[in-house]
Amino acid sequence: MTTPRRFEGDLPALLADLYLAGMPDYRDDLVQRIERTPQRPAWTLPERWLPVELVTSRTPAARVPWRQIGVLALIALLLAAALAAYIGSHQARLPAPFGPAGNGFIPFAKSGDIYLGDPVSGGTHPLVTGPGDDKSPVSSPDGTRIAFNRSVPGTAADGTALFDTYVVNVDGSGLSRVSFTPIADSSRLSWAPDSRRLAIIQKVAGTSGCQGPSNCLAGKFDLVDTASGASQTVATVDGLDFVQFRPPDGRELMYRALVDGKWGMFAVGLDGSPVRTLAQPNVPGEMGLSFHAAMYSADGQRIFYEHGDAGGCCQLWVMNADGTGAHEFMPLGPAWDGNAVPSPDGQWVAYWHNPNDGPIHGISIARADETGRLLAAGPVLPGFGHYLWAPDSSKILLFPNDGSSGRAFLIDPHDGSFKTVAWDSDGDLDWQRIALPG
Amino acid sequence: MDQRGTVERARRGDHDAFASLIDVHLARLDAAARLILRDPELARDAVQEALIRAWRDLPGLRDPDRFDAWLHRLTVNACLDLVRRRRRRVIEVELSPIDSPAAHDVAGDLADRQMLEEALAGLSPGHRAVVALHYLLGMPLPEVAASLRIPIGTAKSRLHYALGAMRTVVTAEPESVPAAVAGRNLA
Repeated sequence: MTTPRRFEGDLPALLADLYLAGMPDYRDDLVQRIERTPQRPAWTLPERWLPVELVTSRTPAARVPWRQIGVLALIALLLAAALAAYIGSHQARLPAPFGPAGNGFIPFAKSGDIYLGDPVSGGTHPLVTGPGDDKSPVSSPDGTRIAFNRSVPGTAADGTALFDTYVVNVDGSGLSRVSFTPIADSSRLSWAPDSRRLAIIQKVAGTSGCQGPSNCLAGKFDLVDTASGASQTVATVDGLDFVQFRPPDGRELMYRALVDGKWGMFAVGLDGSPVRTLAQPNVPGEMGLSFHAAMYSADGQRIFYEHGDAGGCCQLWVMNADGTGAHEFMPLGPAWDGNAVPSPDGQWVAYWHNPNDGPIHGISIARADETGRLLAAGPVLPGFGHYLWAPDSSKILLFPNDGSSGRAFLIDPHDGSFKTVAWDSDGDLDWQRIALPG
Repeated sequence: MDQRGTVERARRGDHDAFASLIDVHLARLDAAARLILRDPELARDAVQEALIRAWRDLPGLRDPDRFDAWLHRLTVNACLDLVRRRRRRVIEVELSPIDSPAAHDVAGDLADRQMLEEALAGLSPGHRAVVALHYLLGMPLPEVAASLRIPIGTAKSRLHYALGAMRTVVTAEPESVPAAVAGRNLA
């Protein structure tokens, strides 16, 4: 009989003897069930990233009676030959969604209308005009269509204006509204690599403990099919304010998010594979520029991002796409660096470089492999600017956001020289991608 | 590879790594669930639910070194959730009279085990959860309290009560058996 004194000491062994019975017989069944269960993302929100198929699926062909196959095949053969001859002589090839492409038009907004400008001739022509107040044109990766926003009456919950999103072909045809409900001006609009869907991130109430800055809100990430109008909410994530599709196939995307009020950077496969942590969430939420506007290199192997920590923000850093090898990009002494934009050919990185925390300077250009010298390029601006590379990497298009100029600048990345485009515009610009010659 | 590395791999979606974690923990989790629920089928349901949830939510686990405690908590809470869902189905347990000859005639471990099982049967699932976490899964009492989301004082009180009940039965002190032990509903 067990005595009271030794009872408590014996209890673990007694319980083990009583209840431990070897490996339960449902082990294999359990493992199989788990193999069929997807994991949730690296935070505790009830929402999760939903699998997304960015490749247009094909509808299976209806079964055809064998007797008719011969006749149909013959007809199809003749039609295909005729069609191939027609397409070969009339239709241009389309560029791949990532990498170098040819330079097309520059879509821009001016006085509530959307225009296309030719950077070579200087000519412009209207794309969408009328009473609507249109802005923010964004060219699809294949260069065939332009998405833009049109203002509607009312104010969003965050105090910004409301817009509907439209899509139009570059020849002005096929204008259609793709948003069922108006979106806030604070929303972010970009094309998915398939040039069919639009990625829209709208701010919604968040769950994080982060206080104060507006980027503590959550971001609701929707993919809107511009063909059908169908919208799919992929995820709602604290702090989400951008997604970057990873070259070369866009099947993975990278984003920043708040976890327990701290910034981190993450990647997720759109097939439902688990979220990967690229940078641990340990940057205080009030440092709202940390990981802001991170960008993949042209080959998708590296990520350029603004790095901040308790010591301050920001310097330009780079990491491998798996989150390893993070280090400051070409450290050149005290400076504020950020907003890296890699060139499509993978050779260069343009970024905002403000040495010694002095007056705002402008764009600097460095080789992406961190060799060579830093080149100060383009005008010195009193404020900040929005900039992007020409699809063929031969120029940088810069539009000052500080009101210092109503015309965008074209900067030569080789020597830093610059000139203005031939037209005035509002601030929102993009550059149409077309197939490379040959 | 150490468990931390295995947890990291599982957190990145490695099914094999998670299967090896299952192999390490499953038997003891099943034992804890059977102790709490006193029903092998319910225990199986609770453990499967807990492990599937662990796999699903593993990317959200901040500290891989906390995997054991986290898994224990998921399992015990799955058990208690199951009890709550089945609360309408009251289970009556008939205990052998504590002064029955059988309780005293069988000596040694076998008698201890039988009496211990009887004593545990007389406890509530909440009390058994404290016993399972502390004595079967080796969790320190403050962590037991945190896992069950109860104050540390409540955890101590439950453990004291459970120990008293078990000790009384096992050491054959009939007059000091708490009234609650003598045949209670378990749910």
